[in-house]
Amino acid sequence: VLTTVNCSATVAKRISEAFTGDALREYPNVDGVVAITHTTGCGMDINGEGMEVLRRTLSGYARHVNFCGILMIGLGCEVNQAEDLFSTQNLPRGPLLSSITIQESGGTVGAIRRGVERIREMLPMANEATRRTVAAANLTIGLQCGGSDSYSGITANPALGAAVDLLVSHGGTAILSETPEIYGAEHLLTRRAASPDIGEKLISRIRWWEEYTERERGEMNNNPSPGNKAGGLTTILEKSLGAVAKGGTTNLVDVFKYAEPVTTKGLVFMDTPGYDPVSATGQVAGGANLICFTTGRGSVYGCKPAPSLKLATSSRLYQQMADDMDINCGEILDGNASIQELGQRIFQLILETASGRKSRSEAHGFGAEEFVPWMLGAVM
Amino acid sequence: MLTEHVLVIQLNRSDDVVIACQDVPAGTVLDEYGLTVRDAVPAGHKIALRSITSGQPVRRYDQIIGFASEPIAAGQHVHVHNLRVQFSNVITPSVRTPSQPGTFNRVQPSAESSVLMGG
Repeated sequence: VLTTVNCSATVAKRISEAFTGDALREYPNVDGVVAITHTTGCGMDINGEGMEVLRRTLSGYARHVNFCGILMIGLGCEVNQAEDLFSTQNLPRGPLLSSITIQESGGTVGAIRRGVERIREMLPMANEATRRTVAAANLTIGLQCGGSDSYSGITANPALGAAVDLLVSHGGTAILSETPEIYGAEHLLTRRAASPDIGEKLISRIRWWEEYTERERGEMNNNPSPGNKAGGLTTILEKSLGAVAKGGTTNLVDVFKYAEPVTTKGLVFMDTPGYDPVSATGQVAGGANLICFTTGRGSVYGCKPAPSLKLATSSRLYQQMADDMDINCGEILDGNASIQELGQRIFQLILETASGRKSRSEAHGFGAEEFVPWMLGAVM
Repeated sequence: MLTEHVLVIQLNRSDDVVIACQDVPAGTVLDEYGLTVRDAVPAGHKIALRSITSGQPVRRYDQIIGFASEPIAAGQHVHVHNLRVQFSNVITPSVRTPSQPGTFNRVQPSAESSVLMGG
């Protein structure tokens, strides 16, 4: 259950709550009904960059293959009209993708009743989906790092990079993001670009960031912080390389704007902020089926509809937050495994998770609060 | 089984430095690299694998991370006191967007095929 605007968030949640407990007992192939809400959608310029990004994000979620059906809830008078959202994004209406507004449903109670009916109609269709064997080439994963420490660039990031190389060699796709975190070392990515045009696409996004931060009177100073230096990072190149290590060693085959559908297979870049939930939301909107998240300090991030695997940079963290971490990359430091071996294990865990094995954050029920579309432009 | 924790890690075979995985005291002998560590090096920091003359590039992840600002001896701690990057010298417009397509590591399709149970 998605929303066009903040005003319909509560109704969306009430609709999804009707399907907890035993409500899905007759539909064993349905994992659940989830309300994914956000805080914007009105008080904004209808033709602005902010609206363009919001609609692209909602459209990406509406089309996401990890969802079987989508019900979009609007209030009725918001700037982000459901009608316009569906028409500008070419979203095909049907029994598994439709919308209602609260104002046209006679208010809150009527909207909840209609919404629950619509979902009930979807359930038998959703239940027909069964698992079957498909090639790993169908997978797209989003790469994230958050709460980094001085080991991130030594253990978890290179190990994830090794897993990405394996995924790419099997024909799959990985999305590297967080433009501000690679700022100052963009040449390391453009050098790997499969064509000069792809390199130029990345540089044009970086120029956009330079203009954006200037407009906001900020700076993109990504020099190593005192904390980074204490942890052993000497130069900006070294810091950015540690972040880029997640992307492995293959060619950069395309560059996408935030939440744009990722249509090229291989290692690609998507322009996103460094703020993790915003970045991952863009990747999932782009089609990421799964998120791989390296963390040194201990992130508890989880996402719906894309399972999120957490990769600990040290054994100390892995033990301290055992119920949040999915794999221990600290074994590299302990001398128990090489980067390549960890890469193999991560790749295996990616396949198992895509096959239905629950990640730690899924077991905790994370994901309904982590939908954070990038907000751009003036709030009016 | 108790395993002995590794002291240092080399991220790429072409690197000029290894990374300390724990605090490494001065005088520690790294047999694997035929190297005696000259300074006390904190965890996460870099140790020179070979002597590097002033102005020469220093590589980590097989990438240049900076240039020696003074001569560096094998076994020395490499950090802000002897490693710099003059950004304008490295990141020229032509470096930012090379005119030649990248040939970094073209991956060949894997012979084995991995599968998953998709929904």
